[in-house]
Amino acid sequence: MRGELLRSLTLIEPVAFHLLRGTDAPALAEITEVAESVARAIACGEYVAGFGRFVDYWSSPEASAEVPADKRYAMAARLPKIALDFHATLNEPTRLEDFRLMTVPTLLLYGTSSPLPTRRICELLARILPEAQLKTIGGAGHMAPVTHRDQVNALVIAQLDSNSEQASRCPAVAETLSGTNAASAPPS
Amino acid sequence: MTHTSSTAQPDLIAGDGPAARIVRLRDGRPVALRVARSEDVSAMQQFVRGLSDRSRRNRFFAPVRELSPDQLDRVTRSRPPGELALVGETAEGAGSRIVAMAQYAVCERLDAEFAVVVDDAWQRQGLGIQLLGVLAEHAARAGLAAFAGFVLADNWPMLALLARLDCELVTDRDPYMIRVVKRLDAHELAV
Repeated sequence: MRGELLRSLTLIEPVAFHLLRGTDAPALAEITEVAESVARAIACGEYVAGFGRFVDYWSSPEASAEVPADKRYAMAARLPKIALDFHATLNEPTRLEDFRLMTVPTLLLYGTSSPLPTRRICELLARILPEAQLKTIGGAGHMAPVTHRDQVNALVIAQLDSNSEQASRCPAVAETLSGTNAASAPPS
Repeated sequence: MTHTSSTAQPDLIAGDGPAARIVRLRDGRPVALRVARSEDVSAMQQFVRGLSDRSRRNRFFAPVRELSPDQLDRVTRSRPPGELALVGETAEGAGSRIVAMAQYAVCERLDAEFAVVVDDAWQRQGLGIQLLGVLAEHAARAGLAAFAGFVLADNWPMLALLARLDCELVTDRDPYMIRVVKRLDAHELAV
């Protein structure tokens, strides 16, 4: 990874579920059950229902029922990829301790109404990353970039601006680290 | 819809007919189609473990080696008319072996989703189409209007099988996945 090219990161509820292993058993159990429900839906051929439970978990209990039927079918086709994503994010070998090497300025964002696992991941990373800031969006859920986009955009822009004039930083990321769903700031 | 060798059409879940429907494959081998039950858990796991990598990918969209206890419980459970799981079973020595499974589950008021998989050594013998035919027949008897499933775009044998069942192929923006829809007609299925 070319860590020296990174000036900053903004991580909005990164789904680095492997970081919960050995650090937060309740949060790990909660997300493992969600992953298992996706796998169970595929095993039973219940793709629409499985995707509905996935959407309801990350959004709100009735969220999937409000999606038009044709869109539900289109979304359900993505369920197998979600199962693979869960497998990857739950079994990623990078340890929390490894992230101490990541010296890039990082903004961690979560909605206060988001599910427990992603809130815990943000808090864990905020404690271990040398240059981390943790910010929350009150009342927002996992879909904050959609439901609270003005607040999210303002925080992302502030993170970009505050790091855009600084000299390139290096080393930023160790070669051994792999990403989650990190958003890198483009060079100004 | 055609059933190549079964003449009687007993309802496997009504309790007033035989517990299994015997179908004969192209090579003459007989297979019993019946409703899955909780005692099938072990045989079902053996069936999944015995599938080739390709068959597991085609059915589960991932290299699943085996099913979890929770998944096994679900795939061997039927709650008709909303959920029905069928297996194809063949005699083996003094016992029997599962060589196919198919199930449907209601997802909307009159719509259900289905899935099917056949043991590699029993594919291309007409077992899948007969199993799906019986499943569709029971779905129609349950008053469902359609059932649908997902098939990988490179799973040509399954797409060909479903085309023979008059399934509609719906391609969405996903180039790797095709949605197949079978419109159910109780009158047609009863013929």
